[in-house]
Amino acid sequence: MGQYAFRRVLAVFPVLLAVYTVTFFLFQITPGGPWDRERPVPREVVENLNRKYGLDRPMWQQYVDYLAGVVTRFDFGPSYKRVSRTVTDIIGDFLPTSATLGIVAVGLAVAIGIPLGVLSALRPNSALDHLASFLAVVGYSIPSFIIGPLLIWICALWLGWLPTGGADTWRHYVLPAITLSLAPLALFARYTRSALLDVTHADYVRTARAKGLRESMIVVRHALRNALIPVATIGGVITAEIIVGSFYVETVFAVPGLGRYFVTSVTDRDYPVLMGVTLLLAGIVAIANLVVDLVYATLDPRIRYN
Amino acid sequence: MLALRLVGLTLISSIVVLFACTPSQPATKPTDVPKAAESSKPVEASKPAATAQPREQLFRVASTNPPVLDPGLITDAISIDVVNNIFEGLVAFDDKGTISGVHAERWEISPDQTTYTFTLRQGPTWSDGQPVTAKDYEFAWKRNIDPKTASDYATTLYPVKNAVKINTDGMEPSELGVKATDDRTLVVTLEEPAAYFLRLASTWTLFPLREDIIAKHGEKWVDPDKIVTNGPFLLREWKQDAQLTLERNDNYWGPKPTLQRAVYRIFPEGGSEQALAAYEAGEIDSLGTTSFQIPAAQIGRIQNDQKLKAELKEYAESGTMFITVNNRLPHLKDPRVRMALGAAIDRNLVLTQVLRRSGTAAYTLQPDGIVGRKPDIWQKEDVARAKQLLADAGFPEGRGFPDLTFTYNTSEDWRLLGEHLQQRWKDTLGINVKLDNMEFATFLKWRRGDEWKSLGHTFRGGWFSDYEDPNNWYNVLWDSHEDPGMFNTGWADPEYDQLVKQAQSELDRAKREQLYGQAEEVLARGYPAIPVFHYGGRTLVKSYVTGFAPTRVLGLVPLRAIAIN
Repeated sequence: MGQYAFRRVLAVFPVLLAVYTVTFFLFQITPGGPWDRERPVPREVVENLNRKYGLDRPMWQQYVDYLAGVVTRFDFGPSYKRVSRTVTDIIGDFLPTSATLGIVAVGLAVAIGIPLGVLSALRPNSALDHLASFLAVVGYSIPSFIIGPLLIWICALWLGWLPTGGADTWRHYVLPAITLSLAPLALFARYTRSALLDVTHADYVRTARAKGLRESMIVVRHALRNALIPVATIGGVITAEIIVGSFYVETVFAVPGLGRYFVTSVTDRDYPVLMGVTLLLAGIVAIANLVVDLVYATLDPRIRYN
Repeated sequence: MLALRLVGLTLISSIVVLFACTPSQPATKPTDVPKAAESSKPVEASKPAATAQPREQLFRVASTNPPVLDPGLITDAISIDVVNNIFEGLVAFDDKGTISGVHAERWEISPDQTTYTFTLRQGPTWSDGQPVTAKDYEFAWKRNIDPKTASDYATTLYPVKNAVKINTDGMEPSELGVKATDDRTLVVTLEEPAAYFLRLASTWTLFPLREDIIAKHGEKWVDPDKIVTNGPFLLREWKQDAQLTLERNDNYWGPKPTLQRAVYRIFPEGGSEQALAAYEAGEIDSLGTTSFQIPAAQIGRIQNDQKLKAELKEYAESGTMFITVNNRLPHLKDPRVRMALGAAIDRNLVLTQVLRRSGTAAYTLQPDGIVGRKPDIWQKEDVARAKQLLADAGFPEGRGFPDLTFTYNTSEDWRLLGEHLQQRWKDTLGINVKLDNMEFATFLKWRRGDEWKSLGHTFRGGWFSDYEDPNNWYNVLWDSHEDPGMFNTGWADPEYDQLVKQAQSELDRAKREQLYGQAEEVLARGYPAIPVFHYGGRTLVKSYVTGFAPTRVLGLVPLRAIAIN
């Protein structure tokens, strides 16, 4: 298993290289550049800027130089827009905030979503099941930029319990974490429910029932482990995406995270930052997939890697 | 089972109640709900309540994250606003155009008007105690004109001798026509007389810089623990994307500001709703001027609320929004067509109903405060006249006029304007309008490209003064040599070019005004672009803040004038 994990980690690097190449290519063919401003910049100044950042070198050289910088020095370059900051500064400053928020949100989603799914599966088509389904649909369909301001209006402006935005104390994380957790919560609940319902018809569960065990014992100890496989699958991808920061939630709650850089670095054509966050996301998704596969092995003893 | 049903029913009903109680507009906002003593600032005075205790001299304002704080490298209004509070330079202008010496105690101009000798006053120091000397100015100017620095605003230094050759042609920066003959004397030599040079001397690219600090720290010299400044405020803290804190400089040589601390609370771009929510919750004292507009959807509610209405502050801005027209195309070549399009627009309608923003109708391209401006000689709105002009140009009732494209960068406001123009021009002139929008950076690139030159019709344009001098409008925008790099209208008039070139070096004020006035007449006849409105700002400021006075140029807020009651 250790060998398997190691091989999988190595396989991440070709993936990153491919992502790097495709992204680099997209930079070259997208119109507009980092020096386009509302107030037109004289041609000579643009040339000076290109020279300063090495954008006047031939394309292949830029490709190789940047890659060399990343691989040897872990240097993703300076930000074109925020002149005194490097990409590593930016990621180092904001990833922890996004990741904390993301982990709390996923934790909430797991802690509430899975039990909700289990309860629904235990009493299919009951009032509780319908209620849970209703909540799941609501949580999944209503976009975060509607729920967010609604929560702000209720909890911060009207009731005054929580601050309207920012990220200084634990209180600031409550509303954004709740908002972020709703969609994953809904997914976890539904997936758990349907997987569990599938599994309850399996032979080994019938055996356990025939043995006279309590229903809840059967579900939790025997059936749940297998039902969690699909949940682990989506859980991996969801966690990867949430950890790097959600643009909407971070904007609505003014949380200084990495999520908004995914969008603003595109409009700003801030290539180093854009490349940095893209590679970061690719790396995290790849690792998340690896973790999910390892989790499979713990959940289902029939799965073996060699 | 029964219990579960009850629980379920309660849950369902509370959710229904929750959603039912969400009004489309928050109708009642209990303003006297006791707020939790929660503050998002680490060190904070008590909440602003209607008590008699004196407030801390703390001013909290909404802002977006300033990208850069190096005075030689800034390009956007947010950064300029902060830099103007922590740095200062030779001279400053007020909104009436009166000049005052800041570091410069006095200055002499040579008879041929190409040499300026500034005598610096004794007293101004850097935040680390060193005196500000003329050498700091010499270094800063040479460093900013150096092409390796790649300053966007290097053009501000172009009137200085050799500046253009240094910035574009490889000459050594040491050849720049500026010299510190001693610690308190700065001698500047210009390429040719330039009446607007003192205006440029008040801008940030000409602020002094510390050579040793920049040499030691490189680009990171602006970090709060390394930066060295010379203004009435110090950069105390900069938590990226969260907050930027300035503190009064108690060693400032001049009159000390009343304000003790200023916190720029940073919101993400497009976060005007968040900033407004924070303002209403009492977490900030003003919505600010450089970053956020009051969301159009909230204006109605704010104007109907007694308290909020009293806190609205409108201020004039030195900028004009205009529609750029491609003068090269056959159907747009005729100035009567462009004038017809301009005369058909109801500008007040655009401001109050369509865009719902503050500002004034613009008939001339130049805003108030620019010498030479003559709004009365430009055409006014007149639908009948517009129809007549179009007919005279050969397109009676719009017959035969090709479909007109209006291009804008993707944004809610410009889309509203585009849709309005589409309807307006169709109704009044019978012209069909197609709308085209593109992402911002793509839009900027397209504007200067060949595709625009051959195929483009009109686009959303506008200009804000960098400094209030006719040079920044007449010469920089409509001179046919500058046009390709600016709005690329394709309009050219040799008489205009000659007038503005002459005016640029003319030093006699009256003659200069007369020359620019003549250029204005040519512009009014030629009508290269369609003026729509002069920008005006509108923001919210708490009633206990006094001295909040945004400048007309860029809407900057000098903190030294602010006091908290």
